Amino acid sequence: MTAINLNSTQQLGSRTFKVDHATGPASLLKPHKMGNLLWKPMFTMGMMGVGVSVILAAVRTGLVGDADPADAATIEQLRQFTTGALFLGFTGIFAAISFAIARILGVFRVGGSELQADVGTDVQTLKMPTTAKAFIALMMMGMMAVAFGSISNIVAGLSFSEAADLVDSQQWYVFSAGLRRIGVALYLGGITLGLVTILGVIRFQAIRIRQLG
Amino acid sequence: MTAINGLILPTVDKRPEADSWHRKIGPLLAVIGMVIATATAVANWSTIGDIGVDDASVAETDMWAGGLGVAGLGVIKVGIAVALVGIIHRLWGRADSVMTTVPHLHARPDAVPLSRTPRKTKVSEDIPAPLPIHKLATRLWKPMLAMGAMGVIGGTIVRVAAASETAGTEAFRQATAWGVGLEFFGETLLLGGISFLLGTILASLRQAGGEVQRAAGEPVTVLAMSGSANAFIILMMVGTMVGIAQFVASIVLAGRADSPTSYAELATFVNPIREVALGLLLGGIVLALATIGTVLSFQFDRVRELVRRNA
Repeated sequence: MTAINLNSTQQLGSRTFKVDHATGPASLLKPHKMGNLLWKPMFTMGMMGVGVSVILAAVRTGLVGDADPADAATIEQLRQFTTGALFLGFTGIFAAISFAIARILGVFRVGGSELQADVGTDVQTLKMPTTAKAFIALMMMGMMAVAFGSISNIVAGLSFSEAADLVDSQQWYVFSAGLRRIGVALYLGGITLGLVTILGVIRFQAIRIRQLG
Repeated sequence: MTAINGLILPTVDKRPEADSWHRKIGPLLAVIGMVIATATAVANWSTIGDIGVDDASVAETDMWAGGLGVAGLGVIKVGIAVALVGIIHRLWGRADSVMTTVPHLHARPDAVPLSRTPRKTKVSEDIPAPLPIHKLATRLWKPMLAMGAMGVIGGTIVRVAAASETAGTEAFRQATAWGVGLEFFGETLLLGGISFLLGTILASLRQAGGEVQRAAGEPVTVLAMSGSANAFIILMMVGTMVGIAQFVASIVLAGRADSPTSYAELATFVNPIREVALGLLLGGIVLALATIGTVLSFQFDRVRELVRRNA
């Protein structure tokens, strides 16, 4: 993409859009490329995590049903592993949703610029909006929080294997549950901002297409 | 615009200049939800020192904090739904712009050749009728979201009210089963509503794409239903069914509240299954978004093709 003027703005209703100008089609930015590349593996990883957690939950249910006091530590360990696997799965699924949104934004960027290049006009693309930057930041923080929370479940499951460790294990569980909740909230907040970015892009394209005519 | 458009959006202001309240309300709800979720996590953390010392107090705090935490996540989901509704509005505005402009556009003779990814398409003279899933999605997203919000609110009220009960009693176990079951049933429906909104976006893209092509006097080419779209429907259906099953299991669980052992056994399996339902629905949402990306890519190529015909 050949940039001409990087500081131009487009006033549209009550909103001002910052745009890049070029003579040729735009290429994908790094987040778009990552979106294209990673949404599938993250989705697969996520669904595997969910599947593993179902199996672990079934095993744990069997042990709880036996009501053998000797299994108390194992039952607690399985609680940590089940939750860890489930939320590692959620880490993957939420990441896949975020990457799929990034992929959509990439399609809009390239498709819109190719159409403008085809008709031989000044090719305008939106500069990365603040909502998109916040989307990436929230997504990364959410991913770290949920992943750390899940991994701490697994570490706790591996570390606390004796009946005497039950209180320690339960304390870790409550800690990681809070962390995971915050992580999921950050992820979902990021997804909201990703969708709001799409809203802005569609609006910009609607007016730009009219300008071409 | 034809019937389905009226079904989706009876009164849409298609002017791109028109401001959209969705852009402000969606993030606002997300912020509110994030604050609630964080505050309740801190409340849970404050009880860590009491574990093993005063377990009843820990369980009672978890009762209301967990309930409000799930409600916070529900509020963000409503914010997501608001943003999606805004996207549907804007998509129709964009389609209107394309329809008005494309007949007047001419491609440069030296325009870069199209390198379209080969995909299965269907060609017809007129706009193809909406698929059953599109009809379902356009009709059901609103009731699903409304029922979901009611479920989450109801479950939260039950949990907050029951926090004053003594932990470990039959009444506490019963309220836990009802409250958590109802909340997660609500979450299931909220995600179902979001899935249907994504289905509505796909319906809008198909309909609007058809109208653009018909207005240009061209045969209407639409993408055949892709594997990801089919998998989206399957995951959404399975996720919803698991969500309903967990609610039924929660009612059974409430019935076992008089027997701590039997209650614990069933709760052990039901608790993770609640999250699994949400996981399946979220998996479906990934595939719906992927399908939207593919459809958009195809439509951009198709519009460029129409512009080339004008040359």
